[in-house]
Amino acid sequence: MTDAPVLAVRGLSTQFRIGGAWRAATRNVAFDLFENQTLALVGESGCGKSITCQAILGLLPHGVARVEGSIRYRGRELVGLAEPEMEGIRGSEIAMIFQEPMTALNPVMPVGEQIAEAILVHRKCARAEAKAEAIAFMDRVRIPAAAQRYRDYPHQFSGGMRQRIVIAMAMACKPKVLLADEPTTALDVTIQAQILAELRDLCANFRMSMVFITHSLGVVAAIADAVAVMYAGEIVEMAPVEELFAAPKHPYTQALFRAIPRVDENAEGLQPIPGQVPPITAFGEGCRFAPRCPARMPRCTGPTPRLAGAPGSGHAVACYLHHSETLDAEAAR
Amino acid sequence: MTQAAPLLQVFNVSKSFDVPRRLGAPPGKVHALDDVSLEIAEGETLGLVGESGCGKSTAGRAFLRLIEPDAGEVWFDGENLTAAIPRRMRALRKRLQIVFQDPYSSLNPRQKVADMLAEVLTVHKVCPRAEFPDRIATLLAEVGLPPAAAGRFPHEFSGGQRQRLGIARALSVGPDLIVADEAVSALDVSIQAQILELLGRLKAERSLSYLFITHDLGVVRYFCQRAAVMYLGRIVETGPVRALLDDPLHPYTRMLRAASPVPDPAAARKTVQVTGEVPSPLAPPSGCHFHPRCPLATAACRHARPAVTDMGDGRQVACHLYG
Repeated sequence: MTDAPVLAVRGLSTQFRIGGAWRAATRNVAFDLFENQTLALVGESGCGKSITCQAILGLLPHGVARVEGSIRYRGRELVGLAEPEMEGIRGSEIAMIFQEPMTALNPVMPVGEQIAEAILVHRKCARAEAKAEAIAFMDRVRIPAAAQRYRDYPHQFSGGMRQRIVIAMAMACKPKVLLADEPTTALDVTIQAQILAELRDLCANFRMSMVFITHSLGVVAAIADAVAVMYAGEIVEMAPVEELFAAPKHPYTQALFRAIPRVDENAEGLQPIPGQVPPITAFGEGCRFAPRCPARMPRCTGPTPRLAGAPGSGHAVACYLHHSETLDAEAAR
Repeated sequence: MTQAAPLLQVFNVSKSFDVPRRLGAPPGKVHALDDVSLEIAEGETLGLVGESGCGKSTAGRAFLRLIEPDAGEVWFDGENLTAAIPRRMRALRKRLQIVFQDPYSSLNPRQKVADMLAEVLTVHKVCPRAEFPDRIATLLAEVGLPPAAAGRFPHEFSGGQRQRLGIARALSVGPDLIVADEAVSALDVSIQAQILELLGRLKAERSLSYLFITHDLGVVRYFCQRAAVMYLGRIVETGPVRALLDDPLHPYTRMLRAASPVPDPAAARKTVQVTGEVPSPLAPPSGCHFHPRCPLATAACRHARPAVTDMGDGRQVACHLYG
């Protein structure tokens, strides 16, 4: 790992205009992504994990969404970047894959040609060369008989194979950062295991960094180096993966672990988290988990707790229960 | 196991669907259920697990005769469902209910909750109309919804609440057996745990039995006593949940178990031996359907369908390794 992060996000807030008012979908999101590192953004539906990735790539629609804060890709500010310049980054520097591969594939174009097209858009080379490279990438993501299947259409592939094609397309431009938005959620577990292994391999071989969005802590355990847990538009805890699983600190993270039925252990009883995630129109001040939190204190509804942790530990948490550590960290600065 | 006859007994049920000729593909037949037998005891929860397309949803529907099986018999509480005349079947439906994965698509968006429940109560002549408001209020309370929910439309509810509505509707006729078809799969974990807790509580209070169809082995471990594993229309292994998950016998159960994500970074990174994909159900492999992906396949597996072997302790497996 080098010192400078490939991607540095600071104070990222995204707002949407809903019923005439601007509502913050994410608030003060900050993280660093280093070379060859996989950061998992984990959280339940509506916590802002997809919006964060779309903001990074400038995919949020202008007019109804606005982005504040800073997103630096290798030192270059992406927030407010003009569209033509953003296009130079999209795909070739930062690529994205989605949950449903069919929405990313053109149903009436052979898959091989789609990959070759992606190569041609981003790089000047001969068509034959692009085709050879597309086949090499199809082979790389283990599509059997890649050369023969070059001219097949998306509907002739299974869901898992389609996701491999989308991954091949994303990899074809050799991006430095891959944003993967629930890429295995729609797949069966045996296929999911294969795709996760594939992505781990690709990241290692291409020294690629990845932001991996998922709602499953099991998938996080399998893919991530570091984890950011999101709740209602904010990162509430961030830590290296082993540490987060060994000693989760935020009451929400702890509650998530207690709510998962595990395949490897007999649970005496699950502990559901009471209530539900507030809608975006009801995001208030203070800790947004407070209404559901078993350890709620009066101050939790006051100023929002900031994400902070002991220096050098890499483990940060936004919770007043750990405020002494927060103060230590601030004193050290 | 009790000595009493099981609540639901399924004997050699098969169901195939014709697939019409499509662009560039000849017409074919999908054997969604191929000689499926199982039973559910009173008060038991049987998990039916497998990957997409394995036939588990077809199984749930065929057992309730929501689709007619081609062959085989289904017995419910000592009565042959597959031979029941429509009038009798309608009466039996009060005792056999189903809850779907996506409650929104099974709720009428223009019908208020109270009207939706009243309709079910009317159709099944559950109680006199005068008792409807009380009955509806009780049902809503039972599934953890506020009384005000009765006057709302489905779109006004969150996913978890809609699933509660689906459950309330199933409960309204006082069933003995509920088929839950991926009933918690679309929900976030915190909500999933709430619904599982609700289903568990209802089971105890109303002494319900469940056929719990799911792809999530974690949910099976938590919620089911026994489980049956399906692969391409056939049941390959049945047994008590803990034994089945801790010491899977069939190579497919082993693969499924190994591929299930575990929230433990050390365990999750072990290389999982998963090979190939589920083949097309239009042209399933010969012999044992699993043999092309099986690390232990022999010549026999390519030619002969393995018979079900009783392994004792309530475990059955259909694999030549044990035959």
